[in-house]
Formats: sequence, C-alpha cells, structure tokens
Amino acid sequence: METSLYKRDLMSFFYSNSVYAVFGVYALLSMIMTFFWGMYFVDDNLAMMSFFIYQPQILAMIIPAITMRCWAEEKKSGTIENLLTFPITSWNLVFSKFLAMFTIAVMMLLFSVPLLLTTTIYVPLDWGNILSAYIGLVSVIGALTAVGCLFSALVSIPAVAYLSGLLVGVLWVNLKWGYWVTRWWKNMPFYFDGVLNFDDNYQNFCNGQFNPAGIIYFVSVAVLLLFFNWLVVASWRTK
Amino acid sequence: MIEVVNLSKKFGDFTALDNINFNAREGEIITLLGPNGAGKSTLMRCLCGFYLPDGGSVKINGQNVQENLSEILKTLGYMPENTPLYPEMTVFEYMRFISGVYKMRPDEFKTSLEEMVKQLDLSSVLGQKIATLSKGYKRRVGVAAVMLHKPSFLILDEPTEGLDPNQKIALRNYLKGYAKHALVLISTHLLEEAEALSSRILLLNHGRLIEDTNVQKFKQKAPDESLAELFYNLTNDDEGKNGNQSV
Repeated sequence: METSLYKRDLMSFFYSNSVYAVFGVYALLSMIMTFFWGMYFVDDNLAMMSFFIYQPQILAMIIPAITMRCWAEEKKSGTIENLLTFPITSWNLVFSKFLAMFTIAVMMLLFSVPLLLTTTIYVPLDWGNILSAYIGLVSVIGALTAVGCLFSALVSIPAVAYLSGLLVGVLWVNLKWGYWVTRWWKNMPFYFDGVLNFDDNYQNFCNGQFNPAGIIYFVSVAVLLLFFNWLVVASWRTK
Repeated sequence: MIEVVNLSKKFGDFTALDNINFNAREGEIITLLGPNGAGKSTLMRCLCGFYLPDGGSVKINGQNVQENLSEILKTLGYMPENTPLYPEMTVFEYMRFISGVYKMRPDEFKTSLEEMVKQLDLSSVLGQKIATLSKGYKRRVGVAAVMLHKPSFLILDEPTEGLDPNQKIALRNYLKGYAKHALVLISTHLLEEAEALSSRILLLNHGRLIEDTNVQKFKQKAPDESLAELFYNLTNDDEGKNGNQSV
C-alpha cells in the first residue's frame, strides 16, 4: 500500500463539506429503518438486529457517494497524469484508494455505537451475535466499496459513477442471484443457490452465526472487482 | 541520458509523433519548440511513460521506459500542461504528500522544501489552500512539487505559462542552475523562452522533428529574420512539407 496516497485520499474526503451530507444521510436513514421499519420497539431480542438487517440497502446507496470521486475526479481534473507518473505501481494505486474509501465507509459504523450503548441499558444483548453482525457488515462494506471504486474508474463524471455504482450495488444486494443462475444452468448443484445470494450470506451473520463462507463470498467479490479496477488502471498506462 | 529512437505515436489515423530521434544528457536544457498540435506534449508523455509508443523506444540511462517504469519514474520529475494539483490541500500538505510518494526522509524533505520555497518564492502561500492560489502561484507550486525529490530528468510542459516577467526570470535562473547536474526538458511556444533558457532547441511540426540545434545556429539559418519569422517560415507549411528538412 502507498501510505501517502492512502492518507491523501482519506483526508480529501474530510476536507470537503460532502462528508457531513454523506454521514448525515447515512445516520438518518439508519435510524429511520431501525426505529420505523425494523422491530426495534417490538421485540427486545431483535432490537439491534433491526439496525443490522437494513444496512446493506442503506450502504448500497451511501457507499457510491463516498467512492464516486476516487478515480473520476482525478480524471476530470487531470491529476491522473500526475498519479500515473509517480513511482507507484498500478496495484498500489488501486489498493491505496480502495483502502482509503473502505476506511471512510467503516467509520460510518461509529454512528451505531450510541444506539448500541443505549440499547444495552434496556435489553440484554448477545455480544457474540453483535460481533458476528459487525463482521458481516464490514465484509459487505468492503465488497460495496470495491463496486464503487470500479465504477469511478470506468467513468469520468463523479455523478455518473455514483448512479452506476448505486444501480449495480442495489441490484446485487436485492436480486436472488442463485435463482437466476439456476434458471440458466439447470444442473447446477442446489447449494450454489444460497452460496451466490447476497442476502443468504449476510443473513447468517445477522443470525449470530460466524460465517467463514460468507466472509469468503464478500472478500472474493471485493478481490475480483479490485482486479477489474487494476485492469482499468493498467490500461491507462498502456494507451 | 535519454535516448529516443524512431519514436512514433498515433491516435487513430492521426500521427502525433513520426519517427523522432534524439539523444540528451545531464547538463543540458532542451526546449521543445513548435506550434500548437506539433506533438510537444505527446513527446513528453512518451518520455515519462504516460503514453505507450506505437513504434520505436525511449531509454533512460539505458533502460527502456516501459519495461522499467517504476524505477525510472523515481529519477524523473514531470509537470503536465495546466499543472493539475489537488485544490483542497494546502501547499505544504501537497509538498508533504509528494515527499511521501518519493519516500523522502524528513530531513531531506525539510531541506528541499526550504530550497523550493526560497527559489520559487512560496513562503507567503505555504499554508494556503491551492484552490485559492493565482495561476502563477499554482504553476510555481507545480514546479516545486516535481523538483522536490531532485530528479535527474526534469520534464516541464510550459512551465512559465501564466508567470509574470519577474517570476519567469527567477524560474529560468533556477532551472539553469539546476541543469548543471540534471537534464531539463521544457516545452514552450514562446521563442524568447527558448532563447533565454536553453542550450538546445528541438523544433517539432506535425509530429516530426524538423530542427535539432542550438539557439545560435538556429538564428544563423536566416540572419536577417527575427526568431518569430524564422519559426513561422519553418512551421507554417502545407501538410508539414518541411518535415524532413534537417533531422
């Protein structure tokens, strides 16, 4: 990783006022979904799960707003010419930017800490479940950040990067991929159905099951998308 | 040392560089001269590995640029046209970022920054956000950033564009001093710049190298004409018919 680039990208997000808008919308949506859509006030056992269960939907909308500028703005302003003539390998460029965006997205989870602390006063929480859900959430953030970074590299306008990242993120989170793949590949072993679905992999974390297969699923998606991102950046160096 | 052999670059059907050949070594200040669209920026981008040539090769210290890009880029400082910078950073933050990219030690950074601030008169804007700087200051920050790590090969695309006359003279003097132990390659379409600064002129037109000479010899080609008239006669042709005159 290129530390100086990581720090620059991390800080550039906090230099702009957009940080308040992005974090504010995330906090607001999280609270609305937890208190009004979820079972927070209905079932003590599901209190914190009401927060976790809707997070992928919210993050699919918010993370592209964090990642949209990471490459698109460099291309738009011309600083990409500086970046590509620094002694930094294409992989280091991709990974440093991804890690900076990932760090910002994970920071948003700090907004859940007051909720967690308040809830624990009134409801006995299963900390194993909570830890498992947070691990799942961090894995999801990694994969969605990789989606956003890739689309930011593919286009030159941040707003287009946001919309395309949002579209792909929302489709990935909501569609039953296993169902569609089994329709196309009739002889596919039935267990692949659940393996490919976003929801099935994430739900296991929310149900308190530490789920290595789920981690492998989300990390694999992130690595694959980062590889595509690397291909895009490497192609800029061979134009 | 830079060796450019049969370098060609095309964009679709358009030939941006056509069979360019030249050598250059440390201690020289070379000016790439030519009208707009002559291929000056394209040549610079090929030299620093930003563009992949369609034909020929660029070698720096005997190493092919494309094959050893990461290593070569450590010894090279390149400032693109229009000096793209990060507007949200202060000048100091940007310099610190650059020192991190080139893995400079804190003492190296401190010494080099002090020198840049003094030579390019940046002390009054060091804590200022780049977005708020004038065009001339942005250009000077760009020059300071590419020179911070003391590259052996300095490639500057129109470095004095937007500077006032005093700043131009100060920058030229600094570059002249710097070129004693480095190769400085600048592009410009200002003839006075070439005359004031360089030991050698490469004149490009329609992607071809039509002159590789020094300022005195260049002037002697037509003693009765001004530099501007000579430049006009050499570059204002139909379809680059002067292209193979004296390569």
